[in-house]
Amino acid sequence: MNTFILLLVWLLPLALALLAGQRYAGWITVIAPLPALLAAAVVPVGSSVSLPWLLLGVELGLDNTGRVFLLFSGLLWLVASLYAAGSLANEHKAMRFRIFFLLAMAGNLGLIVAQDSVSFYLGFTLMGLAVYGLIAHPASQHARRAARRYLAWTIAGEMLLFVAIVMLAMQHGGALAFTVLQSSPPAGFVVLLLIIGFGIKLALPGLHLWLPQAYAVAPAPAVAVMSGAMIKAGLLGWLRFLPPGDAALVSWGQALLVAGVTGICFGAIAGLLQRRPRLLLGYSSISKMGVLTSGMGAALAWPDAASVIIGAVVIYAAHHALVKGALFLGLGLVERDGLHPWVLAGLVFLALALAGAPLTSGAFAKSELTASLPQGAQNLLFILATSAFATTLLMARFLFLVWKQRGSKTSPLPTESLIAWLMLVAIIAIFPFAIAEADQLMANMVPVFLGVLLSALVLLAARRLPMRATSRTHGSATGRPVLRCRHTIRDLARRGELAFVTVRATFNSWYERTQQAVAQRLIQLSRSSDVGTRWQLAGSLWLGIGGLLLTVFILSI
Amino acid sequence: MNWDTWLLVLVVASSLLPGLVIFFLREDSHRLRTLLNLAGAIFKLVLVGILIWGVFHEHVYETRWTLAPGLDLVLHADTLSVLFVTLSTVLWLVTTVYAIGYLENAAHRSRFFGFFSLCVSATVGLALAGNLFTFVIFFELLTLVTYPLVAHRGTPEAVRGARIYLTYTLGGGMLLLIGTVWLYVLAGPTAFVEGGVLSSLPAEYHPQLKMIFVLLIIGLGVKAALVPLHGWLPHAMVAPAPVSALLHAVAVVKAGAFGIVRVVYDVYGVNFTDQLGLLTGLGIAAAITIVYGSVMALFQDNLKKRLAYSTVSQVSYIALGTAILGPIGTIGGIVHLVHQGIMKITLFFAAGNYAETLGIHKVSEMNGVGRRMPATTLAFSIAALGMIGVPPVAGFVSKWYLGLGALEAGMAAWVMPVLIISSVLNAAYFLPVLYRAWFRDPGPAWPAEHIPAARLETSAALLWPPVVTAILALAAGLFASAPYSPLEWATLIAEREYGL
Amino acid sequence: MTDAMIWLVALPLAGALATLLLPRSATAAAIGTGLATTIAAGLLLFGVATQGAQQYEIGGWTAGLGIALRADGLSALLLMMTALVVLAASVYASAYFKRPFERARFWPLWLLLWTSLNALLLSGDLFNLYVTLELLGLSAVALASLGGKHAAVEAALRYLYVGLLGSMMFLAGVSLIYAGYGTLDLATLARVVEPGPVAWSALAMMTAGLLLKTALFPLHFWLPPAHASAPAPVSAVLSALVVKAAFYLVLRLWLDVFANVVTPVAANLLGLLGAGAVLWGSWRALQAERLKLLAAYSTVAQLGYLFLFFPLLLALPPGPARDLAAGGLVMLALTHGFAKAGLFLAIGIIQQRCGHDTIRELGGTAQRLPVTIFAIALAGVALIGLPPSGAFLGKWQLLAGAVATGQWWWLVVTAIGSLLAAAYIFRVLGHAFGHQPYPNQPVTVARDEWPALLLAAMAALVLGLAGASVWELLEIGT
Repeated sequence: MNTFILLLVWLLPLALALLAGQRYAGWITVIAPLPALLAAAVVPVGSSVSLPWLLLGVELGLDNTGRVFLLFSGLLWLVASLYAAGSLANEHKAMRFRIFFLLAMAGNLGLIVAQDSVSFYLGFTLMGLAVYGLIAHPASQHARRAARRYLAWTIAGEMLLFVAIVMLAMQHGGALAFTVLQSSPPAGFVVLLLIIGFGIKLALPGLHLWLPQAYAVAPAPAVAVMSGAMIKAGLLGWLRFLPPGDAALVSWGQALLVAGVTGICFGAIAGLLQRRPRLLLGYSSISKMGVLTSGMGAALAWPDAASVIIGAVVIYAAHHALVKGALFLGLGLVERDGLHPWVLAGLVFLALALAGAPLTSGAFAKSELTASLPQGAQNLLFILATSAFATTLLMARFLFLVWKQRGSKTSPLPTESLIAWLMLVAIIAIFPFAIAEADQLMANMVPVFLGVLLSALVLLAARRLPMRATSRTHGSATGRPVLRCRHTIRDLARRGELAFVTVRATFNSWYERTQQAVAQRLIQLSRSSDVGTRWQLAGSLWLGIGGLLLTVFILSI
Repeated sequence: MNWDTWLLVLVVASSLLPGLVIFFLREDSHRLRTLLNLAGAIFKLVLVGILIWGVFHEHVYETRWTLAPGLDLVLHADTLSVLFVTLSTVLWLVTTVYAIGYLENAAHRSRFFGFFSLCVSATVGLALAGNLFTFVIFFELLTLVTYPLVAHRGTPEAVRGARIYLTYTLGGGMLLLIGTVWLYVLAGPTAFVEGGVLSSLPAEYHPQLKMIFVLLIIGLGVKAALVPLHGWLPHAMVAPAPVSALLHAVAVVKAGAFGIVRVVYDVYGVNFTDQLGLLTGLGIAAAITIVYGSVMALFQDNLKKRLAYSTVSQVSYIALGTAILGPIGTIGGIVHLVHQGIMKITLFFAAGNYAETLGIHKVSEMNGVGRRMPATTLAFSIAALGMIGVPPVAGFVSKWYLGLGALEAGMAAWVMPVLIISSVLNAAYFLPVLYRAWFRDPGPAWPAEHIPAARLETSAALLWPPVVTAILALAAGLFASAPYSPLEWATLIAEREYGL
Repeated sequence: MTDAMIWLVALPLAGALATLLLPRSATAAAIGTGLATTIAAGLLLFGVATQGAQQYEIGGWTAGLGIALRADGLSALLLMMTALVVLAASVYASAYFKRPFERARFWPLWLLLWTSLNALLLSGDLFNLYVTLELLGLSAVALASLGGKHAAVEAALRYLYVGLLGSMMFLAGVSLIYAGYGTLDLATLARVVEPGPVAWSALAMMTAGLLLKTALFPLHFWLPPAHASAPAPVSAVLSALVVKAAFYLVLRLWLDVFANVVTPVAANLLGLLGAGAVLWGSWRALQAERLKLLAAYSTVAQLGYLFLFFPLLLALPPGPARDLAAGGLVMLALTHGFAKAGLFLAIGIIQQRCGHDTIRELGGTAQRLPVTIFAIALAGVALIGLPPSGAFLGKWQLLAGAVATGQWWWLVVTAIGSLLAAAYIFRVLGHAFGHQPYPNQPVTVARDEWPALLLAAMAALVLGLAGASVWELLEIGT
């Protein structure tokens, strides 16, 4: 039974993707994530399935981390499906969206239950490619460019991961199961590849360039699952492939810490400079992923506390997934149909939750994380506190932007989407009370309070002073130089191609001319020997040959 | 009637005889022609099934016929020949169905199907060749019988393309012949033996053996489209789609690659080749071809030309696998022989469908074709993803083994980047095609809609082959570790080659 | 079986007389004679294969005094080839010549040619060889002039002069030998000839004469016009058989009779001329505007291949290696015989349908004659030397011999020659692909097309696949 459920987790979305071509299939996406939730609830931790005949030998299973991931991913996919079922219009386009949605779901859920490197890679790749379809869905030129950029980064990451898992297989004599791979630390080069490969997914600063535009153009439900569930796959990858609790990885852990902190700061600062809510939320994600990265780094750097830290990291990931997903869905509602009071209330709550205000899941997650860190991590604690402060500012600005850019129409909302969203918000509101302890819920008061204060002051000041128009059109902190770079590369490529074509044409014409000249000469030569039909030449040749023969014999050579 | 002797002859004859009969059929006897074609294909499939079972249980099938003193025509079935024969037979059956649909209302069908059957006979004979002499004979025969197929359409471009094809392949064939004769003079009749026969020759022959190897590889490399001997391939694209499919997936290009595998493993022996220092050279040639082919494919707008350059690139994976010392690299190269065949034939079938149904020949005309022909485009997508190396399509498995083999052999420093660059380039020229097909809106009208949309998107005989081969490509990857998969068989071949 | 040898000479002669005396039923008589002679050739081959070399003394006079007929493996094979080719060409010719007076002139000369060919192949002494050679030349000239046009007559006249010159040279050599050794019997001479001025001069003169008759480069100038202007069946036999007869004589002289006299350098000289023939002939064939000229130059080239064997045969020590090479030589000669005959017959069909044989304008006709083109293709395969034709086995032996004796240059010549042959053959075949509708019935006129096809198939398939027996047969008698 457990086997069956574990298989269904990814098999059902995949099968439904094949059926998604039918009409009136708008609701089938809703049943797809159900096995995942079922598995998280019912299947005991530690169960596993072995399919040696599939692909290169597939191992599936459920451990604690996997369970949490299944829970929040499954929930988010479910809500996003309900939302999407209600809100997508055009029949053909909807079908295409559904297919890619289901494929991404299959990949995401599949990699969570994967217990060997190849099936993990399979799910990861499937997810990565399917998301392309989601980003390119709007079919505008902007969407195409964003999708192409995303694809380039994703493929690069997947290539690096491929090399990494092959090298890991070599290291362990061809074995693929995580239980074997985690028995010894990977070689240094492999770790680098894994960090960069999964770092692209996690949008580490420097590897994040695909994210802002992708989040800007994709439809709301897609962005919700992208920012909520799928980006976490990077984290899961690190958790699976880099065995914490091993002394050899300490320096890598420290490097990750640095990267994470950079991400936190960069994301926050860049986010504050945005004018569009979606981009702001995107940079906020980058910042939060920085938190997760730092957590991972801490786990590697302090192997003794590793398991505790990882537990906290996973909870933080769950919190961020649900909240960010809900934020994007809510934003989607606003974009479509204007600012409804319910929606506004929900968004405010979610903003507070993300910032980590007391009595929210954010506080719970944050306190779990801080509690898990060992003695030597004081700096990290400080940074985390600052991050809470910055997030509050960020969220305030977000709400400000939403308020400012609300559409005037308050037309009736698609009921299913609204209800689904509200349910999600409710879950987010309630679940901390179910599992957290009281003092955890009261954490984080100071930074959040300071943040709120500062935001209020800024708001008041802004009302008094005139607004200065900024010249940010792209909304990307690194947009202009990258654009120039791409233009230069394109020019160079074009010039190179032109040169190649010219050289080849020159060579071809020279070749033709030489060929013709040689042919002409030979033809002339052969024509001229029509003279051979003249008897004189023939006769002398004949006599010559006869004489030569005789001479040769006489000389007896 | 000794079954062991006659089975192999029957396998070759099961397409030879129908082919000869078809030549003399009247042009309008469609039913009889189709019957002969399909009957031959199915009969051959049955025989091959028996052959697989027999060879797996180490049964010996051999047929010998003396052509001249010291020169025997030998048909012999070992694991490697069975692999290639099976691939050829299965894909021939599928291609026959496709060709019947494709050439509906076309001219010269008796001639076409006659040579088509002869082509498969030559391929099967080549696969079953038991020594280098027999291999060369069938190799040249293959050139001869594929020429009329390439020139079939009769347009000036077709005749010109066929002439270029012939120039290259006959030139290569000459070099191959010279190498074979030279080897014969040095070492006597060289039968194909797992592990090679030449390592026992005295050391003063080694310089000559190196020269011979180079000659043989150049001769085989023309058909296998190693750069810079690949020039005929894009021109041969003028052939009708079933011909391109057969040539590129099964017959001609694979024959060259198969020949290279035979020479390295069963004539020279892989360890001996490495001793002579020749494996590195082969690997470098393969690597250059892989990258060059992919780069050239980027610049092609004609869909078939793009696929042609993709073939140039992908077939060299087989040569690369051969150049990697060690059983895992061997497995990678040999299994890619099967995988690439199935994936490439799907792509060509799809390209043929686009041309036949909607008059599409260029990538730029493919906007929105996914909506009009979803099944074909889905098959195309699966095969394209396999080419890129996305799991679980079969191409991923080949790439995995090649990468792992390179690491084991210590050659990863340059093989891995080649594999990665090639995958990225493959993505760069396949994914935009997929984007156009699925995400763009179609133009006002297709270039030339020959087959209007009915219940099925195109005629059944054109639709089912690519779907079937796409499913095969997916299955070959998904069930790679199951018994009787191509991967398992390739593992068996490697085990017998290395004596494990 | 020894009687078969007499029948081989007597039957065609009788047939020639019959066709002369009974012009009305000439065709039937000729075909009948052809069948009977072919059976006789088959019987002879069978006899040689089972009982060894045969000898027949005419009139009971022993060798040395009388005329002896000898048949060993080589001559039996060549006789069989001759019979099959002439039979097929006769069937073809029965439909080719439409007008009665053409037929009346053709059949007697045709059968006379056959008689002289058979007699030449069976002769056991030098003078007989001279007589048959002369007869062969005269009937060939007469047949060649049957084309009727000015060009044909001019070419035939040139052929006559050249032929006479050659045979006179040959006769001079024969008389030298007689003067020096007192006997003309081949078997005896093989035992007694020693290197010396007599032998050298005789061999040089005879060879020079024969080279002229076998059209070896650069003495080939008479062949293309003659073969190209003659009627199709005549061209077939001229290219396939008549020039081969002269070559057969060179072979006998060099390998049998004067085996002690020949030197490797002399053989290399022949080889060099052969190489020139291969390259020059192939090049000119590639440029030919007319199909018949192409085929004629192809003959020049193919004969060159035969001469390429000489340096190899002399460089290899007597033994299995030399036997293999000799077998390859014979295989090449046999294949070329069948292939060239088939080619000329097919070209004849095209010429009759089109009215011309210009290659550039072949287009439509070629596509309406699929079986003819197929015959050309098969013949072409044999001419290029691709498997499974017998020529492939022959070329293999040539290449193997070149590698084994270290004479690499012949290898290069062969390779280039083969590629050029491929070029000119496929130049013609390329015209078979076009936009004309495929005829519903592949075979249009049976009497024309089947002989051509069968001859070509013989060359391209049968000899290649069943050719192992050629080597066994050659062992007999040599």
